[in-house]
Amino acid sequence: MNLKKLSILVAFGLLSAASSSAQEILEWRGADRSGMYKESNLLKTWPANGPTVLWEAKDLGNGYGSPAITKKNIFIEGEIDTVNYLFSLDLSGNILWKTKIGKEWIINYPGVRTTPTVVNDLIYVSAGWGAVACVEANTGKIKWSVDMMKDFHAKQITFGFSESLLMEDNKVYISPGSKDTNIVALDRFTGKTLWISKALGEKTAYCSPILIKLKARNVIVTFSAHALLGIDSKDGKLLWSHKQDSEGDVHCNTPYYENGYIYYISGDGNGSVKLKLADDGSAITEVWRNKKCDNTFGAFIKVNDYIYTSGYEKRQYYAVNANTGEITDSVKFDRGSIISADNLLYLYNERGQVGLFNPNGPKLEQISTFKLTQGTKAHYAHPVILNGIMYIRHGKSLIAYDIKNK
Amino acid sequence: MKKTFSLVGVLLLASSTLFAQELTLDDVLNNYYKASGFDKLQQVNTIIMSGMQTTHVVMPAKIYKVRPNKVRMERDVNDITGLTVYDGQTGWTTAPWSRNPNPQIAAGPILIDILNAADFDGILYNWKAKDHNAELVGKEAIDNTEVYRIKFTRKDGGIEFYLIDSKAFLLQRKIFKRMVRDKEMEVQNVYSDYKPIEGVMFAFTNETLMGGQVTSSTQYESIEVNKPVDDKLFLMPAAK
Repeated sequence: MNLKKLSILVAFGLLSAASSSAQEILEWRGADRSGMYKESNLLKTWPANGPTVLWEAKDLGNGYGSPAITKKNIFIEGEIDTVNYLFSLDLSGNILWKTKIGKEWIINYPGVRTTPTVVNDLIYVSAGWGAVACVEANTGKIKWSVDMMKDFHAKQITFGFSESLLMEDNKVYISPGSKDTNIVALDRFTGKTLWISKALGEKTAYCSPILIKLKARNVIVTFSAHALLGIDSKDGKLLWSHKQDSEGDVHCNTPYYENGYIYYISGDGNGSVKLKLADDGSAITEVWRNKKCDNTFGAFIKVNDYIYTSGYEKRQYYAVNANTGEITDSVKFDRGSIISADNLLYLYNERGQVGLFNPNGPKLEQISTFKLTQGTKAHYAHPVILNGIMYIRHGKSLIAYDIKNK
Repeated sequence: MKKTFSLVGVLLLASSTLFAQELTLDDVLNNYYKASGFDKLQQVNTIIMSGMQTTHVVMPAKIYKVRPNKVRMERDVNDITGLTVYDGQTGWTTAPWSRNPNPQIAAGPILIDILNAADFDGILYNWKAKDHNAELVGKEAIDNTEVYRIKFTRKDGGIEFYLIDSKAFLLQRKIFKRMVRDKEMEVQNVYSDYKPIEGVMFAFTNETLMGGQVTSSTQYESIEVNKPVDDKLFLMPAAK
């Protein structure tokens, strides 16, 4: 074999390897878990009764978790008779299959809390009592599973395990939250343990982590019961932690990273906080905190220099200056979740009202609103937007709205 | 001519005295019945009220009422539905969030509240025939609204106060006492946002205050009357 042929083969081999390892991750709150959906040409206002309902899928079991949506399928979990099921739907909302994952949480707020993570043809799910599984997207067959309670002596928490699983290359991260297995990395193809991080040895705190990719290292950022943690994704080493000043241990909101800064909001902890992350990810410095901005599980969105989120004690949405932490606007729209797409904000509150808002810098401006009437139980799920369709889960139902601007 | 003017003067004086006269208990209650649409309520046999109850969280709330005395109140705690029911003979409750899935027979103050809620026309209507006692205590101002205060002694001896708006003659507030964690507390139910449904006035907002603080607020999104209600809703389920 001559050198030219060899180099072509090597180049081809590298190309195909790069192609086969390219990961399209579909997960909780969209790309980078930011809640920002890269969509365009969406409706700028809605009719009084809301956008057109394309379909409603019923009988998906109880839950508050959002769907993960691919080009062909919708994956969503639901609780039926104490069991967590992963459902596969076609893009018209028809159920194709469902697979039993494990025991689901029904002691309070009964139902699934998590969103599946889809990487190519594999789906990663977790259930309220600690079952974690990798499922084949085409068949629903379980490829491997672990039980966080049994295999990692996880400690159960007041509202049940609620972590939507984070992926990185060949790894999937789970948070059993026991003294010696605070965070664990598993091989995503086999379920085999790659490393175990003791971190602070605290219980898990309902948080779905983010991965910050830096030159020096990749950092997993998540909460345990009383601190925000920064963990080196290579080996599980605890790099830093940010202690919460309250006794609260419910820190559901996924942190957000942008240009060297970490933002988080925990109403059960320090409130809204901005941290400066060292260039190599090894340390943090607090920039500001604002206790008044106290969202607990509705998440937040950062657009340019402002953060938009709802309060918890005060049932209103806020605009917060991301440079100073000051609240610049408050709008009475109860409290709930928030996502963004096409330079607009989509709010879904606990009264079942869905709002289209304009993030106008320090001002949060209401454009349109409608009342969601389908579904069951509490309005806690976070909406998802893909290809001009807004998906909202309300208990046993998933409703698809056409929000394309035609 | 002088006599005629004097007579007119006397009549005017008598008339103004009459207007200035305070209303009697019967006057207040008759005005209340009229303003509330009690005549129309007699043609109503079922009521279904659906809405949201706000405590520290917002949860769905639903009430079914069937004439003369069946009621089913669905209330969610931690997103788990509990029931408070009177089937016409027995009051029972469920509180599955307490990890006990079985129904419990209601007694004591809970049963009194259920019986009150089950009285389709309300405790103030036809109160004499129901062996209750009522007394008009006086007039007072609450939140810039002038109200008549009625002291109501139920036939079981329990005392409640009903405050009726002196202009609109709608029920504005009910005040009573309940034992909360071994301590007697004043409870106030505040009714507002009245709207007519088939000629009957319904309060679409009901706030509960304890110790002066709002502990819950229910906003009804829909109130329907004379819709079919399945009798099975009132049957006590068997223990699991």
